[in-house]
Amino acid sequence: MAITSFYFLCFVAVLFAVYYLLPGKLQGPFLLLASIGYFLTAGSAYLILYPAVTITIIYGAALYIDRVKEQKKRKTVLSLVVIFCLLELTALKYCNFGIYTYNAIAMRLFPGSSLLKTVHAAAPLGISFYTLSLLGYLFDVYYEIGKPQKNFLKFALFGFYFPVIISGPILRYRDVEQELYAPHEFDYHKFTYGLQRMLWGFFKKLVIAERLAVVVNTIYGDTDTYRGFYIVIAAIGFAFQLYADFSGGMDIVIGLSEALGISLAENFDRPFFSKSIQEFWRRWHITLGAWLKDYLFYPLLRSKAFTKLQADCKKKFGKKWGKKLATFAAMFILWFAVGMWHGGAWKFIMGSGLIHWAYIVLGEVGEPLWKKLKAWCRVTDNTKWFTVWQQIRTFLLVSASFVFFRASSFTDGLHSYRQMFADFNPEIFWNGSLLSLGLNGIELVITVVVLIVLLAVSMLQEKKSIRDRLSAMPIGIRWVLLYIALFGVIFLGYYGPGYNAAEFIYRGF
Amino acid sequence: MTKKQAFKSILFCILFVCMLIPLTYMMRTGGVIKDIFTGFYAEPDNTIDVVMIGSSPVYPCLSGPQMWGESGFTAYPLASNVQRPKAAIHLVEEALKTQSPELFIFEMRMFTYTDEHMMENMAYTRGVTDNMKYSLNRIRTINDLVPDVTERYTYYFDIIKYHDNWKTIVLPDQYRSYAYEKPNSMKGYWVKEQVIPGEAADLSGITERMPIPTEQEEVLKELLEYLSAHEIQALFLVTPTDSTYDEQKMCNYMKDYVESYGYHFLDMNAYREEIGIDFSTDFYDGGGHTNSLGSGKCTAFLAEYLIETFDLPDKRGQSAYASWDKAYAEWQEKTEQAKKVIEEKIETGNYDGEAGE
Repeated sequence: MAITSFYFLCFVAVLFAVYYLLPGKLQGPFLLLASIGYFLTAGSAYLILYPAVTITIIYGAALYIDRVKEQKKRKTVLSLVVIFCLLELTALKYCNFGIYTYNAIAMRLFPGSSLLKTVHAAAPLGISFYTLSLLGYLFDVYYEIGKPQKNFLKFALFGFYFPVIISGPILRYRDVEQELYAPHEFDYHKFTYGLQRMLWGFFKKLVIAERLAVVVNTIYGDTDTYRGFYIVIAAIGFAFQLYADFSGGMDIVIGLSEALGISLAENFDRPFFSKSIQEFWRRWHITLGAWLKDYLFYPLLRSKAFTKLQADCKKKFGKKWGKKLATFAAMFILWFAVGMWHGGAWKFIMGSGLIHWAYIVLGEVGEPLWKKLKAWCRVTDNTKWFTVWQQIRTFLLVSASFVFFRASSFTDGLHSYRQMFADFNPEIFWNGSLLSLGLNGIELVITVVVLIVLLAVSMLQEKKSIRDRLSAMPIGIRWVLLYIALFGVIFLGYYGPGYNAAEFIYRGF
Repeated sequence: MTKKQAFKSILFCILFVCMLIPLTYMMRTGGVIKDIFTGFYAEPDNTIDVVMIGSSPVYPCLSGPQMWGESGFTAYPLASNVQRPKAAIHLVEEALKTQSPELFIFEMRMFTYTDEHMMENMAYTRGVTDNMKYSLNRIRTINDLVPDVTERYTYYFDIIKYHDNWKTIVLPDQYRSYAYEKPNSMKGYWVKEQVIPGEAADLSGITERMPIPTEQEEVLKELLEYLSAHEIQALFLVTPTDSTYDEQKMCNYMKDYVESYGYHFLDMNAYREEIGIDFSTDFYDGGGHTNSLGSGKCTAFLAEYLIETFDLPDKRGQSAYASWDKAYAEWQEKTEQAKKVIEEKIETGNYDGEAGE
C-alpha cells in the first residue's frame, strides 16, 4: 500500500476517525494495531517477524542494561545486540554487496576462478530506518541518556509506528516518547496543519518528482544516445527529483503524524540553499546524519584507537594537520557508513558517501588556496552574490555526486560521466530536442513552473512557516490557495490508470 | 473542535465536491459517446418516447431525428461501443430517472459475446460508467460491471482516470459539459459517410438454435424479469449485419427466449429484402455498422414496425418538441450531403477500405 495510493488515503481517513473517537488510553494500542496492519499489507506477512524479533531483543536488552550495573555485562549485551542487528542488516541487505565485490575482484585478479552466486533475501519494509531508531534507543539507555520503556506494547509501537517505517525519519525515542504515548484530543490546528503538510507532500511527489522522473529516466535509460548536456540536465533533474520525492514523502508522513498529534523530527531543511557540503548534510536527511554523528562518529573519535591515531599523526604531521588527518580518517568511516546505509552497492557508497567525504576533505585541505583565490578575485565573504555562488556550487557538486546514486551501478555511473563530456551540444536547449525526453511542450513548461513554485515556497519558508502565513490570511484567500493546491495535485499529478507512479526512492532503504 | 471549526470544515469539503464534480464531467474524454450521454441528460423531462440501448451498431443505424420527422415519436440512443449487456438494466433505470418512455429497444448483438471477451478492454465498461452522472445507480452499475473490487475506486472517482485531460478543459465541447447536460443537435445519431463494401451470407435457411454464453443468458433472464416486473414495454432486435452461422443460431435462440417472456424480438436480418439493405453500399465497415445510406433504410423499416406494433404517439407540431424539428432538418441536410459523398464513392470505387481491415 503505497502512501500515495487511494487505499492509503482511505486507511488514513479511517485511522483518523477511529483514533479520535477512541478514549485516550486506547489510542496507543490502536496505533500499534494499525501499524502492524499496515506492515502486513506492505509485503509478505512473514517479514513482520524481522522487526518483531528485533523489537523484542532490544526491549529486553534495554531493560537488562538499565538494571545491571556491571559495565562489562552491559557492554557485552550492547555489543551482542549491535552485532545481531548488523548481521541481520548484512544478511538481508548487504550480502550481495560482498558477493558482487568479491566476484569483481576475483574476475580481475584471478580470471577463470569460480564466482559466488548471489542471494535473494526479502528484506522487511523500512529495515534500515527501524533498525537505526531501535539501536539509537538502546545506545541512549546504555549511555544513560534515556530510560528504558518497561511496557512492551508501548515499545512495540515505537518500533512499528507506521508513518516512519515507510521512509523515515529515524526516530529518537526520547524525542517522541511523550507524544507517542500521550492521549490526544482532537486539535483542529494540528490536524489541519498536518493535512496541509500532507497535501504539500503529495504535490512534491506526484506533480514534481514523477514529472521530473520522466525526463531523468529517458536520459539515463539511454546514455549512448543522450550525451553531453542531456546528462547535465538529467543530473540536475535527478537532484530535484530526489529532493521532491524524499522530502515529499517526509511531508506526507510528518503531516500524517502531526494530524495524529505526534510531532516527528524534520528530515529536510531546504538543503539546496546550503553554502557548503557540510551544511548540505546538516539540512538533507537530517535524522540519518544526526544518528551517525551521535552513535558512530563521536564514539569513534572518542575511541582508544582514534585517540592513539590522532596522537601518532600529531607527532608526524604537527598539531594542526595531525588532528585533521585523524578526523579525516574518522570521517571516511562516517561517509562510508552513510553510503552503505543507502544500499549495498558501490554506486551508493560513492554517490551519497565517499564523494561527499572527498568534497569536504578537498575543501579543508585546499582552504589556503581558496582563500588566496578569493583575495585575488577580490571576493569578500557574506556578500549576497558570494552566498548565491556558494549555494550554486554546492548544488552542482551534490548533483554531480548523485549521478552515481541514480546510476544502475558504479560502472554505469562512470559511463554517464564519460558520456557527459563526450559531446558538446548546447543546441539542444533551443532546437526542440528537449521535446524528445518524454514531456511535450506544455508538460515542460509545467515542470519549470512547479520547480519555481518549489523554489518560491522554500524561499518563503526560510523566513517564516508557510502554514503560519496561510493561517494568518483571510479565510477566502486561504481557501482559494488550498483549493489551487488540491486541484493542482489532482490535475497535474502523475497517478491513476495510464500512469505508473513509482514507489518512493527511499522506500527501498 | 468548536462548532465554527466543524462548520468551516464541512463547508470546505462541500465546496470541494461541488467543484470536483463539474470539473470531472468536463474532463471526461470528449467524443461521440460523451455527446450521446450528455445529450440524453439535456433532454427535457418526459419527452423521449423510445430509448435505444445497445452497442455501436445503434447510434449510426437508428436515427432518432428521422423517426421524429417521418413518424412523429422521439427516439434517443443510450449506446456505447461494445456495451456490455450487464449495463442494460442500469441504463433503463438511468433513463427512467428523467424520462417515461413508451418503449425500450435493446440491440442484442453483444449478448452473443462472452463477458470475458468484452472485458479485455475496460474502455468498453467505462463507455457506460464514465458517461453516467454521479448517482447511486452509477455506483451500482460499477459494482455490477467491474469485478475487480480493488479497481472500482478508479471508476467511482473517474477523475483518477481523466485528470490528465485538464488540457482539454478550454475546448467549448468540454467546458459546456460541466453539468453533463449538453444538447445534442442530432439527438444521439451519428452520420457516417464512409463506405466499405462487404458481403453477407444468406442466413434465411438457418433455423437451428445455439445457446448464447451462459453469463449473457443470465443477464437476459434478469433483464426480462426486471422489465416484466416493472411492466416496461420493450423490443429486442438485431440490426442488419454480416452474421456468421453461429451468430444467427444464437439470434434464433435469443428470439425464442425473449418471446417466451411475451416480448417482441425483431431480427432485422430476416427482413433484408424488405429493408432493402445492400451490403455492397450500406455499411461503413463491410457489414457490421451501417453508414448513412443503410441507416435511412433501417430506420424507416423500424419506424414502420414500431408504429404497427406499439402504440407510439405522433407529437409533431407540439412546441415542446421544436428541437426535434431542428434535428430532423439537420438530419435531412447532413444525410443528403452524406448520400452524395457515398454515391460518389460508389461510382468511383474510391472506398474507405476493404472489408475485414
